[in-house]
Amino acid sequence: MDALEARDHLEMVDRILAQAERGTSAATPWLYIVWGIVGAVLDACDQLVLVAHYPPRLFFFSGACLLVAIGVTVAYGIRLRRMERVSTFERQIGRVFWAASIAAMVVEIGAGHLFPGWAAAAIWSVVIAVPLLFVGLQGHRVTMSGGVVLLASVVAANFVPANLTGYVLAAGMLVGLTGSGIAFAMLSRK
Amino acid sequence: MDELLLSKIRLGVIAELLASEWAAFSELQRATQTTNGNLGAHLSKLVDAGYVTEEKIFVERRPQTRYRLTAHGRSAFIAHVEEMQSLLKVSTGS
Repeated sequence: MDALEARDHLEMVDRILAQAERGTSAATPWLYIVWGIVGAVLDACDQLVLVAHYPPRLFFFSGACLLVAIGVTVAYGIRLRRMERVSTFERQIGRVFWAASIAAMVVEIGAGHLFPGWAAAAIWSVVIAVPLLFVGLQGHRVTMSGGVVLLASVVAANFVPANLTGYVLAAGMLVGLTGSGIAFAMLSRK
Repeated sequence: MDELLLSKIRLGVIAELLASEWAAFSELQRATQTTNGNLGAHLSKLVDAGYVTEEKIFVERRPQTRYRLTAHGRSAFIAHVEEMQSLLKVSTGS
């Protein structure tokens, strides 16, 4: 092999890796978008019922939204099995999300009294931020930005008046997670 | 240099699999833009060398062949790319 051929081969490898790294399945952004919206709805409903004293039946609405998101996730899992390619990136972020979510669920169910007020909602924002930052540190700017926004929303929620706390966390979910999903969808179309 | 990876198609297959948990035959064909028979022959060589594993499954009653990169294939790819980079450095004198 001569230098010219080596250059040609290396350029091809770069091209393939750049496309493969960027590529996510068409379904993945929807998962971000749906969970971001549902997370925001849950935070906003908590705010409305617990602080603004709206009727507790609003929790039925947030529960229904949660079921829809779980349904979308199950459908995504089934679709993933049928796909022709699963990127390492998708698999990796999926595993970290599951691990972080299970850890948060165990803690919230097993030690709920340790997290009064908005702590539980804040924990979910942090739990979602961790996998986004984890993947972001490997060079994915979209997930890095999403993780930073989610963390910033938790910090901001700590300083705003009590009648805004839930809305700030909801905004973090919308911008950080749904925003990441929209950015992913736009990148996959390119 | 790794003799097996001197082929551009085989190198392309490994590069595609490097960023994939797994990829189906059709997806590798799209990435390498080669014919069925040609890609099949190259994949057989990679499987025989232990660079890639092959798995045949049914998806909605249709057969699908999936390929995964092995640790051996990953190491071989990295070593080969490093050698190509060294060759380029030597030729450019840097």
